[in-house]
Amino acid sequence: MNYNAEHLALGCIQFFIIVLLAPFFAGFIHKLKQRARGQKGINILQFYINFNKLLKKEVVLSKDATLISSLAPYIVFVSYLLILLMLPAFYRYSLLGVSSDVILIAYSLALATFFMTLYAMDQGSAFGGLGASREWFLTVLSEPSLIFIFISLAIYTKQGRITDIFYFIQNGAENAFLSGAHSSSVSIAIPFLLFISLFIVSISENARIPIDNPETHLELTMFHEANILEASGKHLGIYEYGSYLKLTIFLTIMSLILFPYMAVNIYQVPLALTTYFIKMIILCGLIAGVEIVNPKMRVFRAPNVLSVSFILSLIAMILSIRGF
Amino acid sequence: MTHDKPNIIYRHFFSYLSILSAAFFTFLSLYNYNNEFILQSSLVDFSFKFSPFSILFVIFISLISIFISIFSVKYGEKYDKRPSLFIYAFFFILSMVILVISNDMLTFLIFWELMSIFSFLLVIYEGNEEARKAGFLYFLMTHIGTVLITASFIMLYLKTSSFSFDYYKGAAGIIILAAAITGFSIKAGIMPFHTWLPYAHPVAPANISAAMSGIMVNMAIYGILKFLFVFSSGSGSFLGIILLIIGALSGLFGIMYAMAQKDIKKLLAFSTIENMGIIFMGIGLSYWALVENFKSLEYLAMLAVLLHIVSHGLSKSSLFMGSGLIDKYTHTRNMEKLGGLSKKMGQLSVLFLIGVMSISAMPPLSGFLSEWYLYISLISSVFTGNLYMVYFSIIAIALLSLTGAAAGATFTKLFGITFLGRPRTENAEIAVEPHIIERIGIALPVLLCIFIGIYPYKIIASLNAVIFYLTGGTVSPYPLSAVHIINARPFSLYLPALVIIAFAAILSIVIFYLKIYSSNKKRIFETWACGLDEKNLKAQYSGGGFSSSIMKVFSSFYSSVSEINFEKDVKKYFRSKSVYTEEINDIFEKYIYIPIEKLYLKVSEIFNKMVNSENINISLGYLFLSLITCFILYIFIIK
Repeated sequence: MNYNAEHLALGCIQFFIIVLLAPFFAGFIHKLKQRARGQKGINILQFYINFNKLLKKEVVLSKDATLISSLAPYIVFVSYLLILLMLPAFYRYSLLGVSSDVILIAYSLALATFFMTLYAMDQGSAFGGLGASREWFLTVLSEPSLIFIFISLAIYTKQGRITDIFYFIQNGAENAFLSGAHSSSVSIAIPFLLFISLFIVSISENARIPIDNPETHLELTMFHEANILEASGKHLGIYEYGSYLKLTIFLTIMSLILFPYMAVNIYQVPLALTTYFIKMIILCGLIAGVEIVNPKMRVFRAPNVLSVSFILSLIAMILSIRGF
Repeated sequence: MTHDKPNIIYRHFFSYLSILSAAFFTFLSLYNYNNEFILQSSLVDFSFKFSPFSILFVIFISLISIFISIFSVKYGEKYDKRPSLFIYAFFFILSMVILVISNDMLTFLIFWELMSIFSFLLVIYEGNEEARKAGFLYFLMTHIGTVLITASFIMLYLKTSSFSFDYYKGAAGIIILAAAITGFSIKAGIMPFHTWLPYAHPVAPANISAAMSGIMVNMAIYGILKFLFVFSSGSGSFLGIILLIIGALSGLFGIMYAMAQKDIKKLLAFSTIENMGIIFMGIGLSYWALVENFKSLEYLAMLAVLLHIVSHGLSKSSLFMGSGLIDKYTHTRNMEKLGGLSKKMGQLSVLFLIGVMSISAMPPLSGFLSEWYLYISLISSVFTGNLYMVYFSIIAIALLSLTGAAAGATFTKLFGITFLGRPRTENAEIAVEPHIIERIGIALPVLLCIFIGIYPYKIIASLNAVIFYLTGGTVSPYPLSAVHIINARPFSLYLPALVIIAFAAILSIVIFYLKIYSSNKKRIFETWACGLDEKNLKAQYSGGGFSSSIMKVFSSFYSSVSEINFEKDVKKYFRSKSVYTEEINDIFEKYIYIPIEKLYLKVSEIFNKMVNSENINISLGYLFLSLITCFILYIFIIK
């Protein structure tokens, strides 16, 4: 890929649009859930207001806190931003698309988890240790699925970079659609299986019901919230923002697996952006729907759900190696 | 005072001597690139050769032993009373350096044995019951390995009738390779043969543990690479698949057991097993590709192996040195008794954190780079379309990803429980910042980890000489696309320098933005504990609690016994004291080694009863019988 000014400019615009939209998607899910429960619901832009408010508040650090406490929020936040730099959402040439290797993305997520759990353990609070332990418990179970999903995509498309992977799927789908013939390079089963698998992983990774509840602060049921219980002020703000970014990352990948449409030049951008937005709204609705109809499950039932996701991605990988 | 003086001289003399000789061997090897020379003595001739492969290992050993020696200059002061440690350590390192440049089988075996003996002496150095037990197990296992290696060398000798390695090229068949690999994997601590490693590595003094885990296990890898890629006749692709699967299983078991440990050094020892497993996966893949003639995959997997050797050696030695300092300044290695060390040992905690990040493959450090290459080679092996390989590499990918995630959990536990939180006992409260020389000894390998992770082009370019020597091809160092798979097309790209620049740029923008647009007020206050005033520092989350949920899901990996004892109190929920004990047993030890040991004892007892009679005639009869057997052997087999 040779980058020119247009690529860089549009890549920058794409990055900023996704980063700015992230709290909106989280707020939209929240609003949907509340309306479905019969509540009036928050302002759809509430999470922007919260973030702004948190920035104005002072940071309360524990007296047992070390360097980790002041550093970890930034590293977690920047890890997600780094992934968003690599990820194409509606424009094919993301800013860091040249180095957007799938393994790197998976391990950047692990880096964020690593620092968030270290933050949790830094203040010597029992909740922090509990949260860190549970976070790794879920990560150990969901990371193999995530890597399997990425590697299945890489094997299916014979590409290693996430930008190339989705461009390949998009091209294949376009060709099949335009020529009307059933192209041999396109499979419907593989993206579909991977979508379901990734959906389960997203629910677990993003602390959603039925695995975890993002709204709870009850000691016994916290997963993600227990990690950032000690955070306050701007640290809490960027942790919260980071969790919206993480949700957006997963939703974006899901939207691209099932229905990839990325602009390759400036003229396609408006249409691609609109499509992206609609896709994300639908996915948000899906997440909200799952959260509404399911009760929270016991911790030790999570492995069963996650192993279903693993098996589905394994089937997808087996299907994707058929061509060789 | 005068009494102590000679001891201090021992420590300083041998530490500096190690540094000097390591530097000497580095320059010697670089100066004598591809040269060979022979030392003649009346009994045997020692022949040496400086191939690129040997030079890599000479530089690797020398570098790490220089770091360890710098560290020992100060750290060793608690061993001044018995300075034999420094003498043994010097000869231990020396024998390893000479081992990798030896070019005939006798030299190799002599120095292999010297290495084993000196490391055995170092394992039993502490002299307590635990050390003696570990030492005996190590001595036994390592000599079973040596027997197998010697047997494979003898078979090679019978085949080529030469002692020199030069004649062994392409001579080793399947049986020779299998014997040699089994022998070497005992030294590497690969899974069914690993039992000695978690006992022997932790009981030695920390600088020796660092040398054993960082360097010595890699001598086994050296031997395996030499056999598979230099001596091998290039047959038996199933051997590669076996190595791949054994390596993957070893990695998973190693890290799962590491997670269960509370002794810091034992955790690190199990992590060595894991990393050796990862290296074995790469070797298996590379050998399979060699036999099946997938050239680019072979080079790629070999690069993953060599990078992982280097990065594991650097990070593991720094972590073992760090654990030694924790032991020295807190008098305990049990992480459940520690906590809050990063307030007392600020700089050490930063160094330890980077080492931990590198070994749990966090980008952008060197551990991630080698694991990335391994992942890419595994994906490439799927593209080869060979049915067996596709099948097994999918299994390997699954196991490797699970290993990677579990490594993250394990090292979060290690760092979080030991360095973060509040001090759990008195031991953690007395800690002070280690001496500057000790910190330098740890800082150097850690800095190298960062450097290799961020700017790997130079080291990959140098490793290419070794890859060329072993496999006959190279991997392009720049850009890291280098990943030409089967259809010779760049498959993926990882640009560490670009990624780290992007990371740093966003980080500074975010910090700058928040500095301007947010409140910079800070308040220091208590940790929130539900409003309770918790005085008991042990009431923090424990290491055992941290890993218990993961261990519960993977309970089939362990055979654990846990027990809660409490005094029979009237008050049911407010007990004054209760004791929880948990014992994690190695299932290999329980289901393989202990039954074998019992069987052996039984058989030898029966034999003892049969053979050892008090009647001298029967004993003479046995003597006669063995003489006849020897005659028969001589006539029918050797003649």
